[in-house]
Amino acid sequence: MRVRAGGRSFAVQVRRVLGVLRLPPGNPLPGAPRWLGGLWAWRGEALPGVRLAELFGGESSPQWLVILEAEAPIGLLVEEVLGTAETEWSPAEDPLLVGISEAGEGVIDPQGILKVCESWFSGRGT
Amino acid sequence: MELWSEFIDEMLRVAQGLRSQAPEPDLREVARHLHTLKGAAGFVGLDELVSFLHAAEEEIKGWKETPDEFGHYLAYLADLLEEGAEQLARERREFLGELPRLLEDLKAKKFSGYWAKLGRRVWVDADALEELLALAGELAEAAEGKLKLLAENLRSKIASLRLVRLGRLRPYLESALEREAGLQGKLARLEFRGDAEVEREAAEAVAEALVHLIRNAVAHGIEAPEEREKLGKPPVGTVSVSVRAEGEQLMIAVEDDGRGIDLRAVRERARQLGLEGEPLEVIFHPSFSLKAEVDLSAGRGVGLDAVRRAVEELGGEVSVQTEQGRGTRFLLVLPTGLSNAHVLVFGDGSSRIGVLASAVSGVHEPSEVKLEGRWAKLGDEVLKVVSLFEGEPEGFVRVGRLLLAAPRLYEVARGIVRKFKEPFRGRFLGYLVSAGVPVPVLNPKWLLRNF
Repeated sequence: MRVRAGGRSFAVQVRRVLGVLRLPPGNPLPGAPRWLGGLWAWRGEALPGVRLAELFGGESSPQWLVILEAEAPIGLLVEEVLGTAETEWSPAEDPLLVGISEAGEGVIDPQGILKVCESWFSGRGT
Repeated sequence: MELWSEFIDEMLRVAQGLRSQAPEPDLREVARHLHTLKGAAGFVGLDELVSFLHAAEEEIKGWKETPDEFGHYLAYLADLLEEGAEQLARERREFLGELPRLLEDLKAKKFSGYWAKLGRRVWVDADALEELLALAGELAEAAEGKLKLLAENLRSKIASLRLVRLGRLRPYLESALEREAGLQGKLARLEFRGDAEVEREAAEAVAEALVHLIRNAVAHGIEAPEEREKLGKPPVGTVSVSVRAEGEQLMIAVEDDGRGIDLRAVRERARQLGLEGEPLEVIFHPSFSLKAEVDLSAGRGVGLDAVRRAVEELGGEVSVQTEQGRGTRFLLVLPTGLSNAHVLVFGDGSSRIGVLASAVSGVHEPSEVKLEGRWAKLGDEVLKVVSLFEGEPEGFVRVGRLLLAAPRLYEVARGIVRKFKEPFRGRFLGYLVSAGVPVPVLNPKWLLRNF
């Protein structure tokens, strides 16, 4: 599944997508880095939402919440959902990506996204 | 009150004993259990129970052989006693009303039908209960009017099902103590005083922390029997665990009558390890504990960092007092259940955050607070100001030595503070769903450590 955020497009593996929602109201977290968008209620749990563009140094006004499967579900805030396409990918160095697609888009690693959230929530990271 | 909680424990033990007899009752054993409980019941003045137990004991002693289906009766009696223990803990006594009929059936050896009464208690998967609770919470949140009241009622009923009495940990703690004493060649006994109800998850963490502290007390506190006698102490050392609920806080003290912590040795060891701080602080340091584990004779510290971690994850704290030659006392202070917590919600126009009301020592008007940079004077005290939000504060929330600036004070919400999924724990104790969004509840311990 291809998504767009901050003028860049990315890909996520469809089998890791748990849901796609029109961005519902959330609760921003005080003192959080810019890429951490806040908390959303999803299936009775608190879901952290990550602004995808900001995580890669960009800027965006997200419209969609894509819920990804990782150790615990994690939300991705994106501007547009572009549909699905089949692609192969080559490995990437970035811990946030599982690889780079044929079209040159970063393929998001949900567990990598979770890890950056974990370091903030644990209170050890900044 | 202490007397009662001890009696309730006794009742649960006897219930357990009777249940273990149910598959193949040994009449002498059964009579012995009833006799034990009779003594204890007499002590607290539960006359109806005393007369039932007395009559039942006499009756059973007269039997030559075990009647058919007597096991079902015993299992039912065990159920009733457990139920009774729960009732007594809530100062209720309805179970006593069943005793006369039970006695009648016992005398008539009429045990058919008791099997059908069994199983009034069902085992529920704890995770399913959590889900149920979350759903009831959402229902209460969405509903209005009478339906809201009903949903709130439902929520608190479900919440109370998740509570466990800490007194039930006693046999578990006793066996941990015995095992450690056996390993160390020491003599020790456990005293357990008081009781309180906590959530299952908290009870597990508390149990883990208590086992660490008890083993620690036996390994490093209690002296060998010969040494104790030389010191004029009884050869059997005592580790006492006392539990007390106070308001929304739970206090658990673990105390031993051993040798105390050798502060000089701790200081020396800390210096070698390059650790700074007061000795009673240093013992909780992970690398201090690690080192002490390698060299048991050095000091006291096995797993103390684990204890602190377990307690802090629950939003509590640990402190320690020690007296050379007299013993050591660890005090754990924990918030009781997060299932029905009061949470002060504050924030700015877009974001809301909570803090447990039990952790708040006051909410102050800006006019009471004299700001000087990142510090503030409140009366005679100088407190540090924490500004999590931008904007002119409407009030200041005091947590320990910190003043949290609150551009907007929303409400004191009452509800379940649910834990975050494992990776997202630390900074917050959990979250509370309010107005459709999760409001994270700050972990005061994290705050105090980081500001």
